[in-house]
Amino acid sequence: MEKVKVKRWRKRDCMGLVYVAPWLAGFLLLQLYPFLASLYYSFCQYNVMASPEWVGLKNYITLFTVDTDFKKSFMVTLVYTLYTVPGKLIMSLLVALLLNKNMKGINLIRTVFYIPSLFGGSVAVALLWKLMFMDDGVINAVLGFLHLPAIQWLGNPGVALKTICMLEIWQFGSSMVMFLAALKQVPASLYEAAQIDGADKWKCFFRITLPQITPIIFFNMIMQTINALQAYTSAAVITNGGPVKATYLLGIKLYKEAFQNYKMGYASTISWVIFAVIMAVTLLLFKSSSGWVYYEDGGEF
Amino acid sequence: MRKISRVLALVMCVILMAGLCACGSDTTGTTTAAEAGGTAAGETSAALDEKHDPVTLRFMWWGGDERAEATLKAIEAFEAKYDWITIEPEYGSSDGYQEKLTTQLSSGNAADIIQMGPGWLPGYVKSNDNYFIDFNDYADRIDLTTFESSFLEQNGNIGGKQYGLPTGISGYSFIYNKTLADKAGILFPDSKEEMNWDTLIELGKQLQAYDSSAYLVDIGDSELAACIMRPYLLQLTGSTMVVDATAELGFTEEELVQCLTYIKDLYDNKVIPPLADIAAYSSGDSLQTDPKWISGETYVGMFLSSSTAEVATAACPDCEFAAGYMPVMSSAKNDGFYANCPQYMCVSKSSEHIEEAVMFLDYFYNSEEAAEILTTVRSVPPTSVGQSVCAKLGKLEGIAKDTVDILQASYHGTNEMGMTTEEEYGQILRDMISQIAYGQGTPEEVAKNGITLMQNFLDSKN
Amino acid sequence: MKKKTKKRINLIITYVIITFIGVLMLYPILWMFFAAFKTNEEIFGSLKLLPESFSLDSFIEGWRSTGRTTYTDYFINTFKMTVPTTLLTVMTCSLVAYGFARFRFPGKKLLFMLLIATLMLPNAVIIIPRYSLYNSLGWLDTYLPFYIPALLGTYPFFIFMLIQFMRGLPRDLDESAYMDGCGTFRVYWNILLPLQKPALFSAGLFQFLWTYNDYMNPLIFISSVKKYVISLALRLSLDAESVVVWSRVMAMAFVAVLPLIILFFAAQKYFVEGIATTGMKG
Repeated sequence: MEKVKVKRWRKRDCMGLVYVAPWLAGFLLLQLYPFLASLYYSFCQYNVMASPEWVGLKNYITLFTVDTDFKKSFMVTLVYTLYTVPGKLIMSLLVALLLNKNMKGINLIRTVFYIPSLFGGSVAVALLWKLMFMDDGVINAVLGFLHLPAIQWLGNPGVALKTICMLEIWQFGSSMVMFLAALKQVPASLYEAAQIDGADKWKCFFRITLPQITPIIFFNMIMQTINALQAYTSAAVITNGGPVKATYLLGIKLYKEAFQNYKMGYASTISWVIFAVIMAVTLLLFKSSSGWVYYEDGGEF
Repeated sequence: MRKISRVLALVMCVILMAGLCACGSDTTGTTTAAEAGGTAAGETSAALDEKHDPVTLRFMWWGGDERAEATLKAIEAFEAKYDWITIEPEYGSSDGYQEKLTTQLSSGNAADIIQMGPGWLPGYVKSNDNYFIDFNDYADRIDLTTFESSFLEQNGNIGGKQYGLPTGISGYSFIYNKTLADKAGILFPDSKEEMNWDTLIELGKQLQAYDSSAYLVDIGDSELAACIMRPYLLQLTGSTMVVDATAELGFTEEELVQCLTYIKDLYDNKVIPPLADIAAYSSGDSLQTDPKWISGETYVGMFLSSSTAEVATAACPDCEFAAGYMPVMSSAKNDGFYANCPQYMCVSKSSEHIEEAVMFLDYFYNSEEAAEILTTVRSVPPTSVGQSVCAKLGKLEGIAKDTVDILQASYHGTNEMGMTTEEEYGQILRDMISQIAYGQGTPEEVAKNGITLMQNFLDSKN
Repeated sequence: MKKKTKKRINLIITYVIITFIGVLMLYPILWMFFAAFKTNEEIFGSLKLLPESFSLDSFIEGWRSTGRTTYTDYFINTFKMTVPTTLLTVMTCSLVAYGFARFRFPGKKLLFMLLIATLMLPNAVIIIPRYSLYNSLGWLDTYLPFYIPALLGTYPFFIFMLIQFMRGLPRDLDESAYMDGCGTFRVYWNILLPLQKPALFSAGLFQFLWTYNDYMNPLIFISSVKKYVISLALRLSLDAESVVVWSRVMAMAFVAVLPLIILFFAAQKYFVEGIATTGMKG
């Protein structure tokens, strides 16, 4: 009996490959070449227009020894990641819990909360954010009304990065939607059982809700870390990396090297270093996940 | 049952793949259809004029609504005249234009007629001198004598080859708010000889005495680099910042320190506003969106490219503006300022219809009809035809024309083009200026560090 | 009685917090709407939210764009590009996610790592090789650079997301269905898919939104103006050398975001509708 079961499992499991096939085809046809090409460029001097010229490890050596901006950018990116990832996660989870209720006008409220995320990097938002945070902007006017000192949100190198982080956290809507969907996936029967056992609200949250949505918390954490380490848009449109490179994220440096300085080879080098950093962080997160992420499928993967 | 499901899954997969193939063939389907449509349209025009096969040209430019509308109109007028030629417009924002152009050039897929930033052309030509045609080879198709020959030599000409044709005349200039200047009793010199770098500081102090919250010149890091640092060094040394032939710097560390000290003096004497105050506007050429500029009560003057002068003055409609003279040091070896152009027109060498593209440009530059439609949407026209038509229409008036007049009459500096106008080099200049502005180092320290970076840049070019 | 008042106070506090955050969230759209009626000096020079006068000119002029192609064209193009991309993405990604989440095939761990790894390389350096690839396939200036990657599920974000949601569903569901003699596709179609509705709708919503707002890819892949989408059109009039009539830009930015708001409002009942209300079929 046992033997038969194992055999049957194997056969059915191979069906997985069939379902995965479209992606695999897409990967091989559309993604593999650009990836390998950029890996190759990272060892080349390549100005986009002339053909790439092999220089070995020169770009990597320049990056780590000569280029002082890289270190600075890396630190800026790290700080940005440490602010935005937890900030966005906590904000979106809290708001999702707040909105996961049946109350009057909840549909409208949810829509309102999602609005900032609808804009993306739109010109309108960039302009609005600049106007709100300029020295004579709305925010400082409100501070003045509360008898607080005005702040140079964009002009002060110590503050500008935080302003950019705020914009990023403000667009928390997508994570919120995923949390809402995850909360709805928690079986109601679990709560009913807990209520019979006399568990209070907090207990329910920590014993049932939180463990049940850990897969999505984990997903959001990974994706936001990846996005934050590659971030480009908000800092590019609002401060363009300034003042004195206080918001000069790696994503901006990379973009400038690639498209303004025509150093595609060097930009590829930066990209693959970012890739390695993200890979390391992601692996760590995955390693840790077995300790705290709870899967309803029994953790088989 | 299980078998069925497996079959079903396989079928799904096949459908997905088939979908891919179908879509693939769909493209060919649509392109052939489009081509067929093109030929059909061509046939009707060919019926009118049997000598020509239909030709479609792609024309790519950036610019605002007014420029787009005028250019589209000029295209229509041209198509009416040459009915076998269709021009497919590909216009857009300046945002991402260069990236797109680079990508297209590298894949050999660029438009036939291309509007080009003057700073980009040397880099493109250096990488590949086969991207663009030399207009001298097509002198039978386009009349270049309507341009001033010295102007053509300075603009778009690299190594004797005319890769680009200037679309207009502009240059770095100085404008000021006459209403405020009069109120504050600031008198700007009305000749080049009386305006030197110290004059700026003197006038700045005078304004500070009148109103301590006012600044003489509204200026950010990119204008400081373009309108203070470059001309200052050009005047001081008589050489461009980078000598392209030898790939060496055209100035010494001491000279750079002198220049940075001058910029520091501008900040210390409150001639120009702290960079932190205008940070929200200085990134992205939008100083004119500063409420303090709009109110017309804080800043008196502005250094800018004359092609943006109308934009800056339009932001403050209640004020009267005038064009001023730019500072030149008494022992200057070079004027430092000069008239150049805001952009070029180029024709792609890989185009299948170079002759028709050049014909279009001949129409674009030299026909009165086009000049009437296009007027000054690409700043003051460079050709005699364009200028006389615009003068007749009364379009050659206003602040942009005044600044260009001053430039053409009094300033004949060397047009810096080449490695020094590459973005990476410009970034080093702007970074040095920001460091001075934020007090992150003395001029000596900043200069030393800056020279190392510039040397690295030059080394990477060899 | 006491419990009731406590509950009421709780509710009031919730509403106060929600209103406070809501104002922060709503401000941009309100500002954008009113900015459509303002002159440039009002937009940049004044803090007031309300404009001095109301007139629909900026909407009419803005919609007209450059005359030859109007926002009617841009909207049609945008939907032509976005709708198929979204549908194909959701279809393929959920199938692929099913493959990863529920089967233990050889090389799965490796493939999954590859899948996640493709998310980690910044886009900027892949643009040029990808452009030349699409150029050789003849896809430029069409919407195929959007359709085909969606059809082939090269959006690992959504695959990973749907895997996570699917792994939140107990395996007993599948097992009992297999006992009943269902095949793998039936299990997916009849059992997992209905339970995945919230996740599928949010994936679809994100893909719609991100394709709709994407600037870089349409910029690079689409060149003729008659195929332009809204994200490109919104920036058409931005240029340092000409006076930008910001009220028109804001009017169109507002109009452009309306379909997204409506879509979200209409779709949300699906992604907040979960196990509790969906009956199990099959």
